[in-house]
This record gives sequence, C-alpha cells and structure tokens, in this order.
Amino acid sequence: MLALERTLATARFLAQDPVHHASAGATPHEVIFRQNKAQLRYFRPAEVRRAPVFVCMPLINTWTIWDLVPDRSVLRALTDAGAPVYLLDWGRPGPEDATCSLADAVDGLLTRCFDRLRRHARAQGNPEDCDAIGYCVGGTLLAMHLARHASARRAAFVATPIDFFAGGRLATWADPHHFPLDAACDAGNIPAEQLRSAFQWLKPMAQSRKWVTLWERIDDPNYPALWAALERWSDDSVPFPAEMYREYVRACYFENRLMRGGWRCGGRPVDLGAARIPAVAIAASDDHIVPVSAAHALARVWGGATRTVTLRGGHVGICVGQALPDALVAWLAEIP
Amino acid sequence: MVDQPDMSRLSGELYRQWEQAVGDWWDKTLQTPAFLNAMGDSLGAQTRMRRDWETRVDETLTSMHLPSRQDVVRVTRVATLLEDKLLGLEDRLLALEDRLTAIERETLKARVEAAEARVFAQERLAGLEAKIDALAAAWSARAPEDASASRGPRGGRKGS
Repeated sequence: MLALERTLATARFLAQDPVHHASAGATPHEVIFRQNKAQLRYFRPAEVRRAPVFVCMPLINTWTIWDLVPDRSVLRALTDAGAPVYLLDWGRPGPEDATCSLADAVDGLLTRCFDRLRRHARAQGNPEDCDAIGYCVGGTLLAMHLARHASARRAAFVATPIDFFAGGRLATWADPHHFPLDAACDAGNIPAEQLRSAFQWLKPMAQSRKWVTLWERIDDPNYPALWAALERWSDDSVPFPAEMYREYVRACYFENRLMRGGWRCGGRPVDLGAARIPAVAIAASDDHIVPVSAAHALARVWGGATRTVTLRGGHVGICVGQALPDALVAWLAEIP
Repeated sequence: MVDQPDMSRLSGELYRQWEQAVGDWWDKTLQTPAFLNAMGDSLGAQTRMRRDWETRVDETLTSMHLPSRQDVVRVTRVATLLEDKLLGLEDRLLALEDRLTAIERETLKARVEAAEARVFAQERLAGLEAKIDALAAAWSARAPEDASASRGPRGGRKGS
C-alpha cells in the first residue's frame, strides 16, 4: 500500500469514530452477586471440564481488557477450555466509597465472592474447589487474601506487583519526598483522569506511536478494530477509592511491605509467607508498569510452592495476545 | 543511473530516529529531581483546585437550599452501610442454611442407618424364630417315641 493510500485509509477509518463505536465484554455472562458497585460475573462454559476459576481484576480501568474483542479474549479462552469463570468487577467507586479500606476488600468483599462462587458452583452441580487468577493490582489484593484464607487450591498471578521497589519508573515517582499522597487522598477518590494521565506520562512516546502503528497496520483486517477497542478501554479509567489508595501506596510503593513485612491490614499482619497453596507468577517481558523482577519477587515471599513464567509483551499487550490465554489454559490443565 | 531514494522508507526511518531520540530524552527527563518536584507540585495544585472547586459548589448549592454533593454522599454512604448489614444478615442466613442442611443430611443418614439396622434385626429374629420352630418340631417329633419307649411292652410295668 502506498503511503498516500495508507493515509487515506486511516483517515476514512478514523472518520467513522471507531473508538466511540467500539464495544468490549461481548462474551455472554450473568451477574450472580453484587456488593455496592462490585459485581461477580459468571461466564458459563459450553461443557464443564475444569474446576471453577475466580478472576480478580485490577481496580484501575475496567475488566473488559480480558474480553476486548472475541478473538482476543482471555475469558473466552478459559471458558472454551471448559472452566466456569467467576470474575470480580470492582465497578466505578463513587465519592461515598472514599472511606473503603483495603481490609474491606481483602477480608470482606473477596471472602464473600469466594463464598458465593462455591454456592453457585454447588447449585450448578459443579465442583466447589476453585482456582484463582489475579491481574495487576487485583493480583496483589488476591495474594493478600489467599495468604489469610484458604479460598482456592492454587493461584496464578499475572503481571502482579509484589516487589514495589523494583517497580521501574512508577517506583521512582511514588516517592514520599515528591508525591503528596495524603493531600491527594484527603481530597477524595483519586480521579480517573489523574490516573489515566499518570499512565500516559509513564510512556509519553506511546501517545504518538499508537497513531503511527495504526497507519502502518491499517491494511491488517483485524488490527483497526483492536486498536479502537484498546483506545476505548484505555480512556475508560476508573476512580480509585481514597483510603484504599492511601494504604496501598504507602504500604507498597513507599515502604514495600509485602517484601519487608511489618504491615498490618485490618488489624492483622499481611504475610504472604503464610500462604500454603502453590502459585505461578506470570510476568510480561516488556512491562513498564510491573517489571519482570517486581512480579517474579513472589517466589521469594510466597509460602507455597512457586514458579515463575515470562511471556512476551507489555503490561496491557499480554492481555490481547495469544501467549497469556495459552499459558493459563495449560496451567488449568495441570490439575483437572 | 542513480537509484532514486525510497521516500516512504526514508521518512519511516527519519520518524524512527526522531522517536528514539525524543524517547531517550523523555526517559532521562522523567526521572530528574526537577521533573519529580514539578509533578508533585502540579499534583498538589490540582488537588487543591479540585477541593476548592467542590467546596465552592457545595456552598453555592447549600445557600440555594439544594442538596449538595456532601448531602448526596451522606445518603449514599448510609445506603451502603445498610446494604452491608443486609449482606451480613444474608451471610449468617446462608451459614445457618448450611448447618440445617448438614443436620438434615446427618438426620437422614441416621434414619437410614436405623432402618437398615431394624431390617437386619428383623431378619435375624426371623432366622432365630425359624430355628426355634425347627427345634420345636424336631422335639415334638421325638417326644411320642420317647413316651412309647418309656411305657415298655403292652400291659406291663417296667421292673415289676
């Protein structure tokens, strides 16, 4: 394709306002439990061949990154493998949720979700013992929960930060000398726009690179739709509850307590060494948000048997590639 | 003949070099103390502006006797607390239901075991009864022979 043709095709594509019309989360599912803004979404497989899987998504941006387009959906791959999937969607916190704490999430909401999962699985005639998968911050909260509660028989943590001092540029930015954490949290929830802006500033050149990539791949039949869906998802940020943010940033980014210990959450110590189930830490090779060393640090502190895996891709890129679904399906197949 | 330069490849290469150079510059700049301080100051200023704006809006709405953001937050927080209490009740009811189901299961199991034990006992009793009947029948069959044997030859008494 000539450069001029490519430019015209790109212009025609963008003129259709594809970002506005992009939709995600198309895999059929139903909401089986709600608490406040959070929803537990159930994805039914055509044939149950695996134990149920609980997926804990991050609080930043929406869960649809794992179900962006039908042929790039991690959730669809898991259900096609025969696993009933129960996904925790944290929803969109409002100003009234500013006082929600990490303990409310780790000991409260997650405990209820696992309980409702078991009841629903029992009612469906499926096995109740489940596996758990966490992604990014969702994985960090899941790890804290599983270290205290025997809610799952094994866990997989995808691009989950554990060693926050190895967190690359984010770790440099989240420095108590520069970062006015208390002032930001005292004003209420961290606004979605602020979080989005921070992640854009992490990789400024990505903002121009994405347009060039669209121009270069405009003749790929599948890429423009994926591009539009990714754009829509990355614009769709979600506020972070203030008190949860305060505790998370202080304990993790400022003090790295998951590695160093000494963290009490909800009146109880946070100790990943108390976990007894096996876990796999999956990292993305080009992750600028959770570098490989930050994710693989799980092996140094997790109490159960651990192994580490590195997949090619970035923090968000692995969710729309093939390597992650393949790795998770293979992991599920290790134990029926 | 001189090869004409491939303009699209040249411009692509120029763009990549520009991207690399600017990217390297950003990588250095984004970690400098000056940038970090500026980012912190900017965040602080944005936070203050946001807080002031929300306060002013709330004061204006309150002066107009309209519900302010704080009022709405208060009401929704109460609703959230109520929901939490209801969910807590639901948790307890479900736990109770689990216990009742377990008790029902154990009761049913005990009743089945009792019924099985009763059937077994009845079968044993029936077996014992049959044996006793057989013994009684055998005894009855022997008794007339013994009686005739003890009477001896006709008309006479034994030993006289």
